[in-house]
Amino acid sequence: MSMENRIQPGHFLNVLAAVATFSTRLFLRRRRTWLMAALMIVPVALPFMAAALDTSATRMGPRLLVALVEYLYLFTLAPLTALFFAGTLLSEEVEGHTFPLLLSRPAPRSAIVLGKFAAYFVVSFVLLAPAVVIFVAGGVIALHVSDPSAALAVLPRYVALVALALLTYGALCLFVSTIATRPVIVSAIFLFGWEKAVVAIPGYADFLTFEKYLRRLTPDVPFKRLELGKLELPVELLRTVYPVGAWTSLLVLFGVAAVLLALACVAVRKRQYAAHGDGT
Amino acid sequence: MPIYEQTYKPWKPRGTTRSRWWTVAAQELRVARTSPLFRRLFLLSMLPFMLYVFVLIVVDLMTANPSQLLRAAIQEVHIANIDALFFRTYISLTLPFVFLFCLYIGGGSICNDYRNNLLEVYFAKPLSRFDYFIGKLAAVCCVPLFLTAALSWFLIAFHVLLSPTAGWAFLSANYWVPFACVGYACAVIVPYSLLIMACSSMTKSATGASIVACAILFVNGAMGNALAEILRRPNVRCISLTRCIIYLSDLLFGGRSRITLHWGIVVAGMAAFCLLCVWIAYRRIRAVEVG
Amino acid sequence: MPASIAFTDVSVWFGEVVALNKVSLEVAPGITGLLGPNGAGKSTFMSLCTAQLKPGQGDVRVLGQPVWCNYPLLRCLGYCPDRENYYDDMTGYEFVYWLTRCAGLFPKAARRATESALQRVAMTERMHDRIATYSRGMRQRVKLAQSFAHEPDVLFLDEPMTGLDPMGRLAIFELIRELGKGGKTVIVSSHILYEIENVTSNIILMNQGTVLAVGDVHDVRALIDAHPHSVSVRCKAPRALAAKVIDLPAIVTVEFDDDISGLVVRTRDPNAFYARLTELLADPVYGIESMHAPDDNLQSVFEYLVP
Repeated sequence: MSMENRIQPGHFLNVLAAVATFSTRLFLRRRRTWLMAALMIVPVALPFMAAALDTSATRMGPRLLVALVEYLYLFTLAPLTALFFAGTLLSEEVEGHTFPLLLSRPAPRSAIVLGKFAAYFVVSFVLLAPAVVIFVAGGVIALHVSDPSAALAVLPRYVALVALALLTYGALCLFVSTIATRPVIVSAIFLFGWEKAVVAIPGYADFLTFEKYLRRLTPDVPFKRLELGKLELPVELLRTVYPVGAWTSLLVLFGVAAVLLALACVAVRKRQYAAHGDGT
Repeated sequence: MPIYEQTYKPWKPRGTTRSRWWTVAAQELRVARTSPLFRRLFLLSMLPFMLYVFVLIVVDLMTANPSQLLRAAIQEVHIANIDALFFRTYISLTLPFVFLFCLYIGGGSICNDYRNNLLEVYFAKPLSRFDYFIGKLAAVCCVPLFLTAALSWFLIAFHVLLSPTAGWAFLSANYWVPFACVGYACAVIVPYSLLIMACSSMTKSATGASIVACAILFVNGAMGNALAEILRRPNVRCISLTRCIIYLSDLLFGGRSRITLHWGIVVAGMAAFCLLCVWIAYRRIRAVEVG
Repeated sequence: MPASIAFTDVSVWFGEVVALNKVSLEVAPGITGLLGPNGAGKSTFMSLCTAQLKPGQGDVRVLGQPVWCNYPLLRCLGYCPDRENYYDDMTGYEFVYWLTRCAGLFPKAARRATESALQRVAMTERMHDRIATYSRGMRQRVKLAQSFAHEPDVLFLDEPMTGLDPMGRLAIFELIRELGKGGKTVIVSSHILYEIENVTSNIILMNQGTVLAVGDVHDVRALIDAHPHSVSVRCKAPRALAAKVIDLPAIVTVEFDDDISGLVVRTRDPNAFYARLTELLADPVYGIESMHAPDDNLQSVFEYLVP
């Protein structure tokens, strides 16, 4: 078969779709994916436990639910899922020595990277979004919320925010995995070190976190603020917080995700994977 | 040698049985330290220590100065109070590095050997599974123990050296502080190391093991926080391993805590957690058959 | 015939280690054996040809085009790496199918190509089982299938016989010979001489990152002047035959067999010796029964050239 008359592939998109489908299947076959799914579903028990152990919890109703969705799903499980899946997209291929098989295909390296990222995004969203919905639905039932519509009304926005969080955190973890040998450690430092510790740094430092922009996009409902996880902050660490606009936040999050994905593609395109520890 | 002397001779190990686990640990550390990331992380982890050495020098030399004004000024600075909490804060500052080192060394400790069929190679040698497990655990704990326990002892010794009068006075009044430092370090390092080793034994890659360990720790911490806030019962925080460790450190160093649970329950819970991790890791090691 | 693969002054470094040192060569279509001890640079050669590596210096061309990030060209290449690299959670069929899809084939064509490739490596029966349950030989065959499923023009097989049993090896030898037909280029690397000898006499001999010899093994052997050619002749009158050939100018030594049923002649000019022997063949006095060249093979070339 010569180069001219061979089967013409639908080049970039065809390969991207193939890599995405192939990677999605791989995700679904791994035990780790189901472990993550189990971790996502564990918080569903919280409202039930709260209702069983303390009847006053039912009074908090939607306020409690929204606070928990933010704290558990948006700022704990979404970055963790990104670390879990996006952080391993390429490093597992490299560690398992399967990457040469993909790189020797006539697949543009950027199509491989974006295809894998698409698989991560679909799988993690399909796992996390229903977990959020089940959590809120379970909470409405367990806490006997008198006005479930208030909680359910903000649910689509939180689902969208979860998607946005997965996109941005995922893009970051993917980029880190293309340049670092132990991406989990570097990503964990950023996601669970820098993002949490920056609260103590004065000035504009918090503009360098995703959490600031995501928090700005959360629904501004009157019953919302419970501020879990911030209750023990020492008084001397409280500082002036500079506001950011909603549209700016959206723009920044999408922009940063796009830039990180582009950088990941460039890094993979430039890197010579056969030069790492293989024989000669 | 005459042929009649060339009979079968049972293998007698040179050196003692005790040193065999160390061979495993030393090899693991040797591999780890060749990585540039490890060296950078190590240098970074020395920053809190350098800061504390600097503070000790400043405080001890300044307090030796007869000027009452300087002494009063130093006493106004929170970090310059050299008491038990000074050393506890030092260990607390190193905790992120401890966790990262546990992840770095422990993540691949068992799974890499398993993936490369090295477990069979190890156990074909006169090395018991117990030696192997202890060796791996020692390798994971070694650097974190150095960073926390060893360096905090060094800081205490340095304090005594720089300001003998104040130093000995501090030590005689707080003779338990060096032991509390070791206790705190062990309370942090042993559960973290065992958790990561258990994760390493369950997965095929170092990255996977590190991620599973992170997931368990962070979800566990978030669940504990959330439930405690919902129920407004601080004791519920002890669901979280990290919170248990902080509570134990409060008890060891005489700090304040909102948790009122008996320390025995917390220690028992942590011990149960550690035993579970040992069981998971050891089960994988035991399952390896040689020959 | 135009060269399928052309290296011009190619050097590759891994840190301070020189993996390839100013390699210049051309490979014509057909089967070529890439031969050399471990660490000779065989896998680096393959990695360069399949766009896994970029040369530190020099130019690598396959089918007349540079390789690095040349995706249209990669459509014409197939690669079977030497490492044990599989997606264990997949079945053999899925493994080949998805890699064929990634090679740019549409689903229907990919399915056909996968089935055909797996049939050629005799894996049809077990193709829907998980790779994790396969023996080493079966894994190797599946890995081989993915390399040629999309019908590449140039195929790189890095130690393809590893882990195969003798019957499996024979089947793979046959398959490689088949793949090499019709103007295609197949590069087979190995450090086992017997494997290469079974599929081709055309070799590239490498050692320590340099190319020692390229071409037909017999031609290469003929060029090695430092080691005279041995020719073993069985005959009834070895002493008489020795007297007849000893005067040839290029003869180095003549030795008699232990049982005086033949002789071994070492010569720097085998063609002259064979010409003289042909003249004497019809003469019943010498009773020449057979002759063969014990060192005109890959083993000898390898031993002579690799220090």
